[in-house]
Amino acid sequence: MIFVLLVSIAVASCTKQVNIPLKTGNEKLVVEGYLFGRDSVSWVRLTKTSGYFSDEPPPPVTHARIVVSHQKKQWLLMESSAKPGVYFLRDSTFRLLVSDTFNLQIQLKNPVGGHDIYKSQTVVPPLRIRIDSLGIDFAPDFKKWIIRYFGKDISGRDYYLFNSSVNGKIVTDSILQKVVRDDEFFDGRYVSGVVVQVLNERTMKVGDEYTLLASNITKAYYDYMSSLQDEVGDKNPLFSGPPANVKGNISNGAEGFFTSFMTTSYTVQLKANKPAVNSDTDRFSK
Amino acid sequence: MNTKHDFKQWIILLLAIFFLLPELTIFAQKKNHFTISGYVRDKNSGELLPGATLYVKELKTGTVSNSYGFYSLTIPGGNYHLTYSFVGYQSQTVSISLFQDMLINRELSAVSSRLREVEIKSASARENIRLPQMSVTKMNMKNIAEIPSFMGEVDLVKALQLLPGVKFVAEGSSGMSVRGGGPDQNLILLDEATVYNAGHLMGFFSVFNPDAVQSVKLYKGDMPAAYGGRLSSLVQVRMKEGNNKAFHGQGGIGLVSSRLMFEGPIIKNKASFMVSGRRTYADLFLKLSHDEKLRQNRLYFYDLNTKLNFSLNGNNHFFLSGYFGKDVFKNNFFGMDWGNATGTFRWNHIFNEKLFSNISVIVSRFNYNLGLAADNPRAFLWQSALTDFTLKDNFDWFINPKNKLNFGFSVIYHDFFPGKITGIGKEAVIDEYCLPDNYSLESALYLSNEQKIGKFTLKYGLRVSFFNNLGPATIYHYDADFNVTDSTVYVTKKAFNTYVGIEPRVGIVFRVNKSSSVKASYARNYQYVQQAQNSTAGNPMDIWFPANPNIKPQVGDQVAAGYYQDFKQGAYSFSGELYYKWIHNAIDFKDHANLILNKYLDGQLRTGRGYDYGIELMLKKTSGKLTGWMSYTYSRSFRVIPEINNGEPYPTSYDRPNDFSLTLSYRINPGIRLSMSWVYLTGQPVTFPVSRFLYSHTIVPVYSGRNSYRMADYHRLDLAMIWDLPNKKSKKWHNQLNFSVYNAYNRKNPWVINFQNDPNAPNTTHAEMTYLFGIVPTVTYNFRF
Repeated sequence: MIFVLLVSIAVASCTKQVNIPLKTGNEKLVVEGYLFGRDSVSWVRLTKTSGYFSDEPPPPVTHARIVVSHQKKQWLLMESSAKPGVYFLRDSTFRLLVSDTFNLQIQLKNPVGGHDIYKSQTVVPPLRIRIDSLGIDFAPDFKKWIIRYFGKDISGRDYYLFNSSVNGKIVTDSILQKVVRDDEFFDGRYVSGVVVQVLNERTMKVGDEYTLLASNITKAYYDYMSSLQDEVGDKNPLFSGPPANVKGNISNGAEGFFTSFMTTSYTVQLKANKPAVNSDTDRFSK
Repeated sequence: MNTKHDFKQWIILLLAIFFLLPELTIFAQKKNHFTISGYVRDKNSGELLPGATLYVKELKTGTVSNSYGFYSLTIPGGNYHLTYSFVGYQSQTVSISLFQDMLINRELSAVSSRLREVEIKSASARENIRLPQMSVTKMNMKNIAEIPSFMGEVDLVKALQLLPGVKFVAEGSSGMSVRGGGPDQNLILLDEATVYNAGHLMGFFSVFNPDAVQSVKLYKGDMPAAYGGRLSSLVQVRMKEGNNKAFHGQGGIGLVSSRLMFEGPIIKNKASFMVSGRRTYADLFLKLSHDEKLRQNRLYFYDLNTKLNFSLNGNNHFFLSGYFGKDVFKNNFFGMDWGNATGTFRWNHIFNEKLFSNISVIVSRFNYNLGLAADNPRAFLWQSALTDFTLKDNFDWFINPKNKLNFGFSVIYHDFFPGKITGIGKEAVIDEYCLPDNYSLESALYLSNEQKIGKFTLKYGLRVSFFNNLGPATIYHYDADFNVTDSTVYVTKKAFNTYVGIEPRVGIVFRVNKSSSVKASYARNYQYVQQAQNSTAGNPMDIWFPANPNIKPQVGDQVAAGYYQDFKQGAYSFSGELYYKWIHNAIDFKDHANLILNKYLDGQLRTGRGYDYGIELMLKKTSGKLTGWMSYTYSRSFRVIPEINNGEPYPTSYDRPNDFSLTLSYRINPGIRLSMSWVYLTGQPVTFPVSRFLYSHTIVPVYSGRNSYRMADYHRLDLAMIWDLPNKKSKKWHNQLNFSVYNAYNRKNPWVINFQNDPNAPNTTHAEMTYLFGIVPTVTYNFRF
């Protein structure tokens, strides 16, 4: 759909950088927190909001006391010395338990946004995605790698998050590179190639080892991520709704989200590829 | 309520009206009073002239022909001088001895442009002064064609956008906002049939082919009681009827489209036809592109308009008109098409010299299809449509010179099919995903009288509207946080939900003197169907949805007052109007709403209230070498919805306080006219970021309150020269060249402003403005014979 728009507008439109004086909003705490399964270290990053055109890295919030708890168990996060404002959960007793609720409590040394205590919680969704092969095409029209997955979807509403890594390095750090999907349209069916990643041409080449990382996420995190994608991407008067703030799940009006998920991965070796628009996808399986 | 039962009631009512009323209307006649009635037509084409006036010199009274050119006047017996007049036509005076009812059909001759300077006592100016109807403007296609056009496409919607109180919704868009309302609050009727999507090519052109259109009339909120269902405006577009005296044709070759129209008699003076077509070749421009992918695309639209009309005898007249239009976008990979189709059958019947009726049977449809090319293994087809069937019966009862009654009913059956996706290819991701049709019945009874009392003329009427949701349907229930809790399934076709709207429409005019008047009006409108669209300009993927147990109908109350003055015998006219509008149950959508293919659409809605107010001034010059108008509007438009903008009032996207336009046409000599239009509007309100944060390696904006910033002010100058080429060989064949320049001083008006992260400097952000059209010169060749 957007493609139609681009074609009709591309002929006539032009862009130009403009100066717009903007007021600066009130300072707020920003929390980016993840609890992972056993394969990764869980972490929380604390920063502050800054003026839109501040052109500086986000100011970190250091020396906070951050505790993750589950029922009566508590784990203290330790601030990284190399990355101020990032707190790691390196306690080996920590385990994610499916369908259980984990709490986050943050106590700041100095108040930010009028508060010094912030809270949140997350439920751990069960991992319910089955991948039996991947389709990887290079679409010459768009100069992009298109990655699809095949496998039987388990009946019941699911929300997925997809990331990619190439030769062991994650290549989908930014919000727009990540893909979130709701299985409403293919719930319980054999999934024959839903697009789950679109990567730039230079991200990988034939011979590389490609890994699709798939996670079940909560509906709340799905909504958060898809709304962020709306706000971070370009807008236009034909299709875009009004810009709006994306509400996270941290107390006291802080920005950001605290979430937890487990991840399954599917790795394949990238073989020579034929141009594949309007033809069957090249299937890759282990 | 049972629908079958409903229909029975309607039919009984209809029969009663048919059989009893004619008797009643004759019975009501006073002794020694006689009726003059008939049609007023154009002498050259035989087309009916609605709004023509009849003036009785001796009694200083008169009447106006109705929307089908029929008039009736009942006065005491005697000898009279009757003057028939119509704007742009030579008046005719006849003397009569009235001692029995008389049928007088008149044909008026259009004045040539050279004579127009003399013929300045324009009827329309006086109509504006005399009638209690407020906030109404009529434009003829002839005048619209003189306004500079975008890419050579004469466009009546763009002409309406130059009127006070009317604004475009985005650069180049044929969507319009009337007095702060959204584009879905305008009832656009083409020969009585609703046009749901009035735009072609993403809305840059309107669906109205200039060759096929006779005139357009805009009512801003104060609609006649016969119409309803929208809060902001009524736009009545009349197609040409077809010349019933001689064959004619016209057409043109332009930069984006070519057009051809034929009209002529089928049976002279009795039956005629008009057929008109238009096809664009926008894709030819794509072929000029350096980009190979763009060159492969096909992008075009076409329109077909046709009208037949047949006069069986003096008392029965039939019209059949149709419109069919389609937009197509296609390439090797993807295809999409969308379009409207409408059909109208009308029967004008004169029961007796005082009672006129029009029955209309109307079908109106809008649909779109899109999908991947059929040879793609993942091909799918996405379809959506909406269809209306309408039955209307409207009566004009010309009781006496002081009272004119209008009444009738209308029933619309809506079938909204929000969408279905079907997987076609063998690897299609979706098997089938379908949202069921929803059905509803929108009906109304109305009665309105126009009454003269000395220097006052009153208009008072009542429209009672009924809205029924019909089964089968599934209605979801929502909790306070708009989460689905439960559902109710209705399996039969019965009505399961009903709303009733009481809609008073009143107006008064006080004639200060012959050339000035003061008016006031109040109108209430109910809107039961609306569009699920939260972008400002809209796109062809229209989804309309009805009121239901979750969604209350939107209600608008508008009060207005105005002053009207003609100068120099009608050569100049001035109007000034003030209005205030309250919207109840105003609909907006939640932040990040998901409106497409969503079963739980009702849960995406947020309702509250709205208020719009403004002052509209217009000075018009209708005769002489220089004609045109100047308009200025100061207006505001706000919504208050608890879940949006923290419940604080926010300006709508159509809130553009200062709006000025100047539209002029100057005749240098009989063959050459120059025209211009200049528009200025306060910048569009927008929501900008006030701070930012980092999440997942990405800069995320934190926004200001909704619409608390504005883009730069909008202004644009368009110029045109219309040159009628001399043709000495043939008197019949006329050639014309139309040169026009859109955005003559190349103003870069912002279409959208995006905030972006500089890819080379991770912490740097900047604002980028996209503007659509720089200076666009075009030439169009037009001909007629």
